Amino acid sequence: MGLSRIDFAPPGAARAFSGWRLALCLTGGLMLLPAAGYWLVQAQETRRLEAQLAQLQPARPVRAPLSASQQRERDLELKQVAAAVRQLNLPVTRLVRTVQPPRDVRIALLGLDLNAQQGQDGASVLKIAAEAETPQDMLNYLAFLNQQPMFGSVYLLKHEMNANAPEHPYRFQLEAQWRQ
Amino acid sequence: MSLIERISRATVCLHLAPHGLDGVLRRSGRPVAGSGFHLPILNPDASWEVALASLRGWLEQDGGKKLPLAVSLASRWCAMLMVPWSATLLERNSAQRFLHSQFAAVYGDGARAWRLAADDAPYGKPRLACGIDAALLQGVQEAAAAHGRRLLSIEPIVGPAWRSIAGGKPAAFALVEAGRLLLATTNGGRITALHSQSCGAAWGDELDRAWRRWNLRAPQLDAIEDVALLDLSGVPQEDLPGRFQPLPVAGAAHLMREAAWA
Repeated sequence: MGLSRIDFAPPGAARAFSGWRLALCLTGGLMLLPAAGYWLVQAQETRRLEAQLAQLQPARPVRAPLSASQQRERDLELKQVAAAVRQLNLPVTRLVRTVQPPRDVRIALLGLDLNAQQGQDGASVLKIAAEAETPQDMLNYLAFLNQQPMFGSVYLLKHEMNANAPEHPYRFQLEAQWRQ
Repeated sequence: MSLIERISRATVCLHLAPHGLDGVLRRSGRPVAGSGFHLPILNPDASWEVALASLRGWLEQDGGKKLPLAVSLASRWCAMLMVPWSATLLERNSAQRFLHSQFAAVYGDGARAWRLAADDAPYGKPRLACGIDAALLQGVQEAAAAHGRRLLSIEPIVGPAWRSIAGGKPAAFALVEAGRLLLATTNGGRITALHSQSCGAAWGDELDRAWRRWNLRAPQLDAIEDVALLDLSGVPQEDLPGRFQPLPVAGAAHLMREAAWA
């Protein structure tokens, strides 16, 4: 416990770093010197070993950055590869089975186009060309496709009557958006 | 300043009293032989302005090495009080407000013009506090600064007096100065109670009466058999009661230690 002391001197005036306090501090510093020296040696040894380790590491090949035109070509190639992969992954069998009309809808499938571009929402587009004896058959087939869960929406793109044929059949084209 | 000089740096210890300025040079915690001096001050009113002028005069004349100063002030200019513990003592501004209210209750509104300080007694314990006229303190500081002296401490003389005898662990001590006597009890290194009053030149009887009167107000003093006595009055008394054990004192300034050795 300290002794009673009342001091009116400005704060810090008597905090002189001298006398036995300074001597004690210096003694402590001197005692810590060997530890500081040992620490420095250890730190240098660690740095040296880290440098050696870095030299032993195999150098990673540095790929030169592509020019702007090369980068564009690379992007184009990537898009084409992605399109090809998408084509290969098309569920053609399911699509063909789905567009087969039931017996009571008398239409004839003339063609399927799977190469149409994708829609804005990422859905794939299938174009169907078909022929029906009557307009009612055409509309029935449109309604049938609309009911299929595989198709999101089916539109009638165009239709025409073939006046040259003896039965005057209707030829029409549909566009169906589908998802896997 | 070299390390050796720094370690063994000297301090001029001064004691400013109404009727004299005492001083001694201390180096490495010891008074330098032959360095003590006493400068009498003609000051019938015991005013601090006259004493301060003497201090200024001494500083002008002293052509020393601008050594740092440790100053103690006579009890006549130091109002002492034990203040109860308060949490407001933990923060400087609120501590000043609290001390001012305590001193104003005892010493009146005149205490508003004093600068107050308390010791650093442990949490929850009463603290020894002192009030000194702010103008006197400022005058001492300005006088030191005007002569390029660093002021290490300004203390009421009771502080150095107690620390000089604390090693003997007295339960109580009396400090007698010219015209003033002070009684204090101590415990665990701290001054725990204090009584101060004026006295005449024949202070021997007054000291005993003061102790007995204080004893009536504080019966726990009954258990104290010996009271260490520090006589700075310059008027030694004979036939003092056996309770009071005089201790040898070379001079008021000799009671002080440099800050680094205190």
